[in-house]
Amino acid sequence: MSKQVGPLLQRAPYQYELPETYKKGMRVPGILWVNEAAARLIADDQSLDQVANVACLPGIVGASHAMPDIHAGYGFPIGGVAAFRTDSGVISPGGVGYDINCGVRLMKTSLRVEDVRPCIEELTRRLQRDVPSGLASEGEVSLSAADLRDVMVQGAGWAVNRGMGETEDLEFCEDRGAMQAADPDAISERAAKRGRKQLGTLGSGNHFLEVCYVDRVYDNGLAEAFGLRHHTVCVMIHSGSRGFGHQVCTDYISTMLKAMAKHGINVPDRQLACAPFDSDEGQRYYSAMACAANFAWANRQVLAHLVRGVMSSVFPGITVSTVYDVAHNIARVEKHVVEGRPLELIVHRKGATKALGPANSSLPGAYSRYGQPILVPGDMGRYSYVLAGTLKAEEETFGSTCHGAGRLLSREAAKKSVDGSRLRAVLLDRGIFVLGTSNASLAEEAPEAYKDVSEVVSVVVDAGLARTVTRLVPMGVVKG
Amino acid sequence: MSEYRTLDHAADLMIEAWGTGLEDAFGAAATALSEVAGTHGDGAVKQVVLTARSPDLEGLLVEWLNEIVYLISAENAHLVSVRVNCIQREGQEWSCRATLHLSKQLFRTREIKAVTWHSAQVEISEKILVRFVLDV
Repeated sequence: MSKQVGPLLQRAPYQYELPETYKKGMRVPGILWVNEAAARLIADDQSLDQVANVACLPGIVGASHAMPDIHAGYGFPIGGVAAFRTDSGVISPGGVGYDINCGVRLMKTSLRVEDVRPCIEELTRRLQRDVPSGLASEGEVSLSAADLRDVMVQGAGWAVNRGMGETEDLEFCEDRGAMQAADPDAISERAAKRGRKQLGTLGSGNHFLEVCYVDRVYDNGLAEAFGLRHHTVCVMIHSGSRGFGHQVCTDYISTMLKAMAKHGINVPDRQLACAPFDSDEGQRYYSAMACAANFAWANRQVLAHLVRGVMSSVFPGITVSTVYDVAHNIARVEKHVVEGRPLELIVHRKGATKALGPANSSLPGAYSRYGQPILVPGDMGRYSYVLAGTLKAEEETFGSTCHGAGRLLSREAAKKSVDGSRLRAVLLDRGIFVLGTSNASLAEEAPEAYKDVSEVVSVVVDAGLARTVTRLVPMGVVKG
Repeated sequence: MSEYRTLDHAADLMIEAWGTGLEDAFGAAATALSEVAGTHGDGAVKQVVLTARSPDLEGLLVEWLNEIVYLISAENAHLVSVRVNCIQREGQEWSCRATLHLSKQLFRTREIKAVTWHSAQVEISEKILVRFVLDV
């Protein structure tokens, strides 16, 4: 029998429906992929209203989905997935967010945990020294106006073509590290100015570099396919499009707000400002968003190059290769089967990761039998996961799953309850060496500020939206 | 005394600022933004006149504050002082004209990506209250 939790109706063990009757204007129901405990928490939370608001947008198909790492954002909830028809639906800059193509790259090394443990402090210090991070950081890559336009179009390939990486890196980036829709003419002078000096910088907030190792293998076949054996040392990079993407989003929310009346669109929250995908405003935003997404891929490529430099100087002769690079704030044109019919959709993922199943033609050849690697960072004190995409995710959630742990405490609440310097000492006792730009920023990102990522992962795995491959445990962390 | 306070928000940061008139409240909001960003400056001070426009007051608040975000994050400016000279309706739009004094920013302690449109409010009663959420 279906269980009712507040306004939510349980449809399956990890699937709760928010009916269209919840709010006037909803065109489709909401579907929350959560366990019962999370459903009870969310039932009174602002994020539920945000799921409903997304369901009000024109052209939405199927449902407004929320992954188990859902928490309140602004406009879309974090953990939100929504798909709109390209011929009659909208595109919303707020559905992608300010940090366009914020994402994660995972690199595996030929090192084992016992090689790195004795020198983790030195390695982490070298990473912090050589990889620009923190506030107002400027990259070592100096971009002319023409270079920046090339970055916008070529993405990660721009960096690889200049010796910052290997051609193989591109094979293991979503979209090979560049969306084809990019058009630099859709970018404002302001966005260009905000981004010009920031290529190759980690940024601040929740962005990080982490040296970690595989502490548990759940599926030997998948782990072998991804090159992640027990005790393999890896490096995880979490960063995005920096000020460039922030300004693109700011610019186009204003553009969309001005255009909505012309298109006869009303939204329940102005952060959801949108325009028909096939309108001039919609197409220009998609082109600008692709430029910012490509900037982010170039950024993570340069960061990966800097990481390789440090790793090779500390451990000469090792190999450092890309496992995969995923975007978790992005909108893409994709083909999905809806009610038995193939449809072209613009799929928005705001704090959600693409999760393609085996045999999907978008996957790199090496992974095509196995499904897409899904990178799910947790927090700096516990663990992160590598998952693999499933056919069920393609059928149920437009090929999407969770992107991380999801916040439990606000930044202010975390700062009030956690002492950053004490946190560093506690983590060091557990073998995790953490460097940050300030104790306050460390406190904001403390493990207790986040949900336990293993609970989030268990929901998507039990719901069939992903398979568990390996668990990663941090050893050295550089917080931006 | 600060004419603002920070409020909890699940993922980010909300600010409430106030004043006896719209100009005071918008000025307090800009000061709050600058102080939350934790900018520190030095050197020569230059004067900048800035105008923001929007069809409504909530929109004007966001557009005005995103001008400040741009100055802090792209121009590396430190806000020494701000005076909002006039907020008025001109035809179909509201406008906000302000005089800023800026110096070179030495550093800041928090990155502000943007002022969001979500929950932006201008409340007019005995005093003017403005609220907005930052993406940090």
